[in-house]
Amino acid sequence: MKKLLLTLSLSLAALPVHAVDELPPPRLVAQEAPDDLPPPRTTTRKPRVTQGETSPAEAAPQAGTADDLPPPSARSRKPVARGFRPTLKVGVDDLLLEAGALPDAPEADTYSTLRTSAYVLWQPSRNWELRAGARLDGMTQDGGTAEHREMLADYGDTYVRYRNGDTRLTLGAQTIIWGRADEIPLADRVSRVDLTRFSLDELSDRRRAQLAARWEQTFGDYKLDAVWLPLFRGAQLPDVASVWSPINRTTGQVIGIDPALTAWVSGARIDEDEHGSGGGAIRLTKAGEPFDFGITLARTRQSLPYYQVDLPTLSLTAVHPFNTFVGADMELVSGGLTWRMELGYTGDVPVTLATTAMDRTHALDWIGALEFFPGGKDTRVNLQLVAHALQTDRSILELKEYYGANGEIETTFAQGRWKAGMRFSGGFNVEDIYLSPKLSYVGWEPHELYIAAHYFDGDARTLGGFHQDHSLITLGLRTRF
Amino acid sequence: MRTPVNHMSLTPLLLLVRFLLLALLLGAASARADEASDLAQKVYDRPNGRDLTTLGRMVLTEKDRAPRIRELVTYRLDKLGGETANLIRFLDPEDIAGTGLLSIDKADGSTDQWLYLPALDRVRRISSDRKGGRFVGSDFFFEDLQERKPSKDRHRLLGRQTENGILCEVLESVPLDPKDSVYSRRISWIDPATALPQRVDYFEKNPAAPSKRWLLRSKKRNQAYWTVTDSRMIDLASGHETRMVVDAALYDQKLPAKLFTSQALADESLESEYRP
Repeated sequence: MKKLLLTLSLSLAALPVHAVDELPPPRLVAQEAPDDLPPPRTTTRKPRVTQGETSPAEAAPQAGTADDLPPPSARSRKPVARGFRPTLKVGVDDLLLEAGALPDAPEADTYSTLRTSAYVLWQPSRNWELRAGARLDGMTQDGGTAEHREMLADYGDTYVRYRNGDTRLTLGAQTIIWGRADEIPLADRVSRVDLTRFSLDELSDRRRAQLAARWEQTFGDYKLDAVWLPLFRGAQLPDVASVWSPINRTTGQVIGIDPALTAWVSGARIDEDEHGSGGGAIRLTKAGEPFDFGITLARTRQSLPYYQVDLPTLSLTAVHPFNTFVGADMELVSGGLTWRMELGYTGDVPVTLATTAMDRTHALDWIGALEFFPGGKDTRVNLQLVAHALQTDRSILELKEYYGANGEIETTFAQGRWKAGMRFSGGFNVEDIYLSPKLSYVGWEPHELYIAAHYFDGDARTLGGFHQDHSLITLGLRTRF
Repeated sequence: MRTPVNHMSLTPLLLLVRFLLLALLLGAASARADEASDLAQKVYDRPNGRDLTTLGRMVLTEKDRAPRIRELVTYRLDKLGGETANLIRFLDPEDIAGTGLLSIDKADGSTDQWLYLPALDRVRRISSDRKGGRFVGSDFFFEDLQERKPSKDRHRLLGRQTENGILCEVLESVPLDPKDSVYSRRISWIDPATALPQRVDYFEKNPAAPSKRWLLRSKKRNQAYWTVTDSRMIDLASGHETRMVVDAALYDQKLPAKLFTSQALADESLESEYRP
């Protein structure tokens, strides 16, 4: 019985009131440093502090304050949101300074860029918004057979916008980039391409504003977006002397055309034909369950030029014929992966017959994209498969089919102060390679200092092949304020 | 020396006592587990209004380096059916200003997320499985920003301990599905009066030493709701810390549901007038 009592007492002693032995040791309370938190920086967005309130930085320290705050006063005025406030904002939304070396280019040894854009945004009332923007692009190319300096002034997004309920109307110069895929979204039918730096920049920097009337209407989860381009402007092309020009007079090549047939372009006259309207397009999108999708119908002129050849006069004319586009796209998350897909049919695509005469055909395009974060951490991987097929049996100078992959891998490290990334693209049925590693220091916010490389290689008629002598190493500073 | 008789006579009694003891132990343990789960539920259910808007700053601090500050506005709306919508908009610095993140936490525990990138003027659907990714380079993982349902963890009370001058209940939470969380366990110091955590230790690979620690620095009662107005998340290995300051908070201003759509995500002006 004694043993039984002993067992019982031991058992009861072992019965945990709490798992005391697993309790972490008390934290050593360090002396809190004096509060040196600066006030909010965004002066136009400073929080409203009502009378009698204190900012958190002035709030009593935590220790022992569980119940020493006064209960809320029933008579105190309930705080309210700030409501609409007229705003005027002025800023520089892009400043790029970049120095580059071209180790293999016969045209130049160095290629440097200065690019800046500024804006004024005024929202006088809840319904109206006015924006004016301007940009300046400067390039220098030195140390080769085609030294060149260029400075371009242009307008940026400059528009009048009206909002009311679910309606938004915008008239003026706008940058509108439709689609879901990165790099070359198929639904991107109403933007104006900027080719001055070819593909060195990301998609948003490879587009420019152009005059458009836009109507955006929301119906629940659906959005209708209609755009009309009253005055067409072709892509912003670099000067023909630039290494990024789609016509290379040094090597006698036209981008996308077999170089064996274009040796004569070195002395050819180059014209531009971009009169008239750019056409119109509508896009219906839906976000939500079970996936996001979009449908696009467009009858527009593409800003990327097609060079019409006139052999008797040895001239190339950049033309932008109307074509019809019907496309569908979708985006969903499954298994921790984001899947994106675009499918498009384009009618009236200009192509060049063996006689150099222009013909028209239609094209089918498909993009399948996959985005994920390995291990759920800080590295992002975006992989895209692309397929392009011209539907013609005739002999043409362009590639009839192109299958390839492109994408981007990027990661951050050192508490987000550094970024490393790689953009890439490659062809499956032809050799076409673009690799662009980049290392950036972004700890000096909002500035970005970077070193990057752009490597091109490939067969004739591919983009990588056309620029295979233009691989570039750059050192740059990018900022906005 | 025990005789067989003695043994025979004691065995049923011992068995009975042992059975009773075991039942008592299991009953007590079960009661403690219930108490722990109740506390976790109490923290989860802490009154925080039907909707909430905050204007705040995230301060990233590293030894011998200038702090980096992100200003942001957040909106939260509790919808019917257990769904919660959150919208975060960055206001500063300029390189991320205008970027928005919309999250819809559904009743079944899944989350839909969209990211708005102003440079492209495009809304992108993104996976919410990026639990261990650092939120804008801070010490907060994406998982830290999500409200974790208590039913996803097994809870245990470890005892009582003073933290921030308050006698707190110490609660251990271990994910039922280890793949469901970046953390192998969390230990929280809960103020029983307010149901506000005063401190949370986060454990990753090493079950004995926390990798991160969240500390409440100050709280304030706004419109009858307790609001954490100043807190810190510390990376215990590097000493790097992220301080989260709420400069203003507004509860129950009847935020419209259309604020939590991809259309509003892409148009900052639609939500800006609801800011404090």
